Parts: sequence; structure tokens; C-alpha cells
Amino acid sequence: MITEFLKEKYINSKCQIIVIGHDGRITETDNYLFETNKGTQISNLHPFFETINHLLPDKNKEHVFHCVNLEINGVKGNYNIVFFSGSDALNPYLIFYDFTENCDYLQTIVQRRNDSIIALETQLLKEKQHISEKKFKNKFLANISHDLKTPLGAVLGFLEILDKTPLNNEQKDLINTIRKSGNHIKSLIDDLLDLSKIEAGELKINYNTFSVYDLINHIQKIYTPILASKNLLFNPVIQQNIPPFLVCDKTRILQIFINLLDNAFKFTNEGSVSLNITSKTINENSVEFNFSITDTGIGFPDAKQNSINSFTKFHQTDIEGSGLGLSIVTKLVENMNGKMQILSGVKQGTCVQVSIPMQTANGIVENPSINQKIPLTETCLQILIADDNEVNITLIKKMLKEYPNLTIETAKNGVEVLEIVKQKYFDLILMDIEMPEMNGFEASRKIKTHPNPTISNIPIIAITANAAEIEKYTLAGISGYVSKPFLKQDLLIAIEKIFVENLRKMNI
Amino acid sequence: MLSLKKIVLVGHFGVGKSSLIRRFVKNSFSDDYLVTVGVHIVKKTVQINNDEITLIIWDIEGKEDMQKLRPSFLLGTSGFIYVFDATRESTYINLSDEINYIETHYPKINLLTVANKIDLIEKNTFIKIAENNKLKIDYFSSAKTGENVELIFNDLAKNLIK
Repeated sequence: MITEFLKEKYINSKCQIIVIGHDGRITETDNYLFETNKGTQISNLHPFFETINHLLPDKNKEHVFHCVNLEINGVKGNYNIVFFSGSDALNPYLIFYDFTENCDYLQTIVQRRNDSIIALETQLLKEKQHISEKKFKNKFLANISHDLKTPLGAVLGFLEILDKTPLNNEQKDLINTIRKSGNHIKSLIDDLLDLSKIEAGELKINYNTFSVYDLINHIQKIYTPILASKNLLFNPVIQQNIPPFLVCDKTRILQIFINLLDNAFKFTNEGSVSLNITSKTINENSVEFNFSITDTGIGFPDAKQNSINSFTKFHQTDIEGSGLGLSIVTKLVENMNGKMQILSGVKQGTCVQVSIPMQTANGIVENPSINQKIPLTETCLQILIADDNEVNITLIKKMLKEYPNLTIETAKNGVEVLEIVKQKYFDLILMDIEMPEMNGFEASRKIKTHPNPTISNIPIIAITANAAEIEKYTLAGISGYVSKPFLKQDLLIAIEKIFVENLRKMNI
Repeated sequence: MLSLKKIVLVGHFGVGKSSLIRRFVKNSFSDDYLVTVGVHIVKKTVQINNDEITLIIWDIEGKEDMQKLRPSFLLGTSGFIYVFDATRESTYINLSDEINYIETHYPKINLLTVANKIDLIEKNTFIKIAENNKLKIDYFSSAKTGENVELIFNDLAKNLIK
């Protein structure tokens, strides 16, 4: 008796049997799970049964359908269904096992699993998209920079040549204005590239030894003309016991000073700009290099101050004319593990405080810069200019015109360069990087790996608008570079540097 | 002429199979994702020229591998719609293999491939991805906006009565 009771409680209540005729009508049903009536066409109960009708003619076949969600006469359930197609002795039948509880439980587990997988995949996709957008942006900036710098180089270069011709005062003023605007565009392009490099994590801090005093002298020289024109006082004060030589990226440190001082001078029309440099010993070999730049300028309100203190990459402050300089400074200071704070108030001036940890040089001073120079006027040199842009070739030729000892030839692309160097000896190649057919990078690589040492030893100076790829050029054996837009002086320095290096190698 | 055809939507979990069916049958959509366990079956009758076709649509639980599908679910199937999520690479990375499997094991069954959730990705970006991955795609769809949903089922129905 107990087995009957248990069967009734645990098996029968979870199971229903429906017997059907070969015409698909119900002939028997126990209605344990849902109500059905004899004579009802099974296919009218649910669309599921419409798709098993075609199995009826195939006798003696059993099919099992797992986890079928059905709603029959208002009863919802999840069933494992056994379908027997009938035989000569038996009518077709369906057995329904109720797995609703199990399926509900399973659904909770699967839902959780799938949700977490989808969330992870969505996150990965976002990261992938972010990386690809960043790559696109950086490439776009590099291309734009190249496209802008090339014609800008021609404008500034020819302006320099024009400035050497007889001009009246008004014309000289106009040239100065054009030059200032051109230089402003150049610095904006450089800022954009710097920010893009910082964001891409490509900006490297090159640690080298620098003299704090040299740095300040240099800064004073830069701002002397502004001081004269604006009638401002500039008071750099260096704490007496500051280590004279520190180790950091002197180029980037100078960039920080210039960006901050540019803003201070820009927004100060009367009074002074002061610079205070101090240091605090961290340990025997390192100090905290602190400086503050305080101006008596227009200042700005708290809201702007907060936005500046929390600004992010590419965020330009809403202080008109402040450019991208502050963004760059913040990122540079961050990259050097330093801190920066801005204090300001409307008509109360601004004070920027920067603190960067630095190693002391302990008396080790970097080799002084090359002071051995070869005046170009005394050396006969064969120079090959490779550039597809006629304007650039003309510009370089004009820049070097006053040196009759220089023999100049030209090539329009890398293929031509390779042909010409096989036929003639050259002391130097000025190689544009972006050229059709074969670019300057590829041509340089081929020259540097040429079996003939007369060819492979030719120094190459890259003329490039994309200074971000300098490491790549170095790997290709390129000895130096001039970044577009460039002035005559930049070109001459690069050429002289190459020859001094060569002489040094030869111990001359 | 009235005919009845069973079609089965297959593909990974979370690609929007249930949502496509819901959009097609009830013209509604929900952003909430509810896992399908086992199979849900619905039907809708469509008119193709002078013919009425009742589509019995089997919405089966998502599987990463066609070989793992319960064979009983596919009994008597006339058409497959293979759905993947255009925003999730894992749902289409093996698309060619899956399609090959279907074409080999069910050579007489009509098959359409659908890139769903196209509203969540820039279309040209996805077209580039599809080209790079050599994806054979018949339709782009969005259950959310309804883009191409009706068209997919109607076109499959047309193919089934050819």
C-alpha cells in the first residue's frame, strides 16, 4: 500500500499520459498535470503538437523532447515529453514528465552564468573599441601634423629668406606678425602631438643630468623680449642650497616651465611674474624639486580653478587662449610622479605650485654639448636632397645657397636615391620620409644595409613632420633628423652635428 | 494554399533569438535578457502572394556548438535561422564551421544567417569586421528597432514554398 501512496505522491503527480488515435485525437488522458478532453485534436492544444503530427505515420518510433515549455488550457509547465508513434498493438501516446521546478532552478543558474559572460565580453569589446579609437586618433593626429607641418615649414622658411631681403619697416612688421602666427600654429601642432603621445603612453621620460642654473638662464633669455614689451618684472629666485645638478628629462622640465610661464605672461599685463625654486631632501640621493610661478595677472574663479586641477587629456580649459599647455604640463608632471596645484582668484593673480621627485647628480655632469663645430663654409660637401615636394627642395636649396662649397643634387623618391648613390659619392643625404614609390625610411634602410661601405656609410638626416617616429628612424640607421617646420639654423645645426660626430668617431 | 512549416532559430546564448521571435510575433521588445531553457514554441501565419504559411517557430536554448543541440529539436525542420550577435565576437568567430555543419548534416533545409543587434554597432565598422572574418551574412537585424525582422521571416517563408 505504501508504494502505491508514494507512487501517487511522487511520480503520478509529476507525470501525465495522453493516448491518441492515428488521426491525432485524444482517446485517453489521466489529466494529472493539465486538463484535456477526449476527442480533442492534439494539435489544437499547442503549436508543439502540430510539429509532431508528421511523425505519426512512422510506426514503432519513440522520440524524447526535453524541456519543452508548454501552456495547455492555462497551465504553464516545462516538460520532458516521450512520444511513441504507435504500433499494430498500441495506439500512439505521449508521456509528460513535469520538470518545471528543475528548469526554473536551472534557469537561475544559467541566467547568472550567461549574464556574467555577456558582461565580460561587452567590457572586452568596449576596451577593444577604445584602443582602436585611440590608435585611430593618434594616427590621425600624426597625419594631420605631417600635412600641416609640411606647408607651414615652407611658409616659415621662405619668410626667413624674405626677411633677409631689403624691406621697409612696415613690411618687416608684417613679416614678424606672420612669423608669430606661424610659430603659434607650430606650437599648437606640437602640443597636440605631445598630448596624443602622452595618452598613448608613448611619451618617454629621458633622464639626464641638467644644471638648474643653466635652466634658469635659458628661461630668462627666452622671456627677455616679452619683459621688455610688456613692462613686467620677472624675479627668478633659486634657493641657495639647491643641488646644482639634478637628474630628470631636461627637455620636458623646460617644456613645463615654458608652458606655465607662457600662461603667466599672457594673463599678466602689469606687475610681476615670479619664479621660486626650492628643494627638499628626500634622502641622500634624491630631492623634491619644488617650484612655484606666481603672477599678478587676471586670475580666474574657483570653478575654473577646480576644473583645471582636475582636467584630463585633451581637455582645454575654458580660459580663452590658455591652449593645451596646462593639459600637457599636468600629464608631464604626473608622468614624472610629481604633483601640481593651482591657486587663483579673479584679479588676484595665479600661483602654480609644482613638485617633482628627482635624483641628485652627485657631481656627475653630463658631457657638455658639442662645442667643436665645422663651419659649413670651410668644408666641401656633396649633399643629396630627397623630397617629392618641389617647394621643400627649393626651400632647402635657398637655405644652403650662401654656402657655395656645398654641391647639391636632388631625387624625387627612394628609388631615385638608390640609383643616384650608386653612381656618385655623397657626404650626406637629406631624406624626406613621406615619398611616393619608396619612402625615406625604406630607402634609408636599404642604404644602410648596402654591401658597398661607401654607400652604407653615407650619413642620412631625416626631414620629417612626424618626430614621433624617431626611434624607428634610428633603427633604420638614420643619423639625425630635422623636424618640419624648420628654420635654416635647425638645418645647419643638424648637418654640423652629423659631421662633428663623424670626426669624433674618426678621432680627428 | 495553407501550409505549415517548422523553423528553428539557432546560435549562441544571448544573441537575441527570443527577441527576434517576440518582435516578429508580438511586435514587442524588452531590453531585459531572459535565458531560454529548453524550447519555446510559437506560431504565426504569413501571407506570401496567394499562399498562407503557418510558421511554427522553435526558439531553442543557445548553444555554442550546433553538434550539442538535442537532435529531437530539429526533427521535421524546414528552415534554420542562424543568429549571432554583431557586438560579440565569440558568437560569430566559428560561424563558418557552424554553417558548414548545418549544410553538411541538413543539406535540404533552408538556412539564413543573421547578424543581430546591429543597432549597437556602427554598421560600416561591422561590415569591415565581417569582411575580415569572411562572415557569410544574409541579413543585418535589430530586434530592438525591428530592422529587417519581418523581412527575414518572410524571406525564409518564401524560400520554404519554392
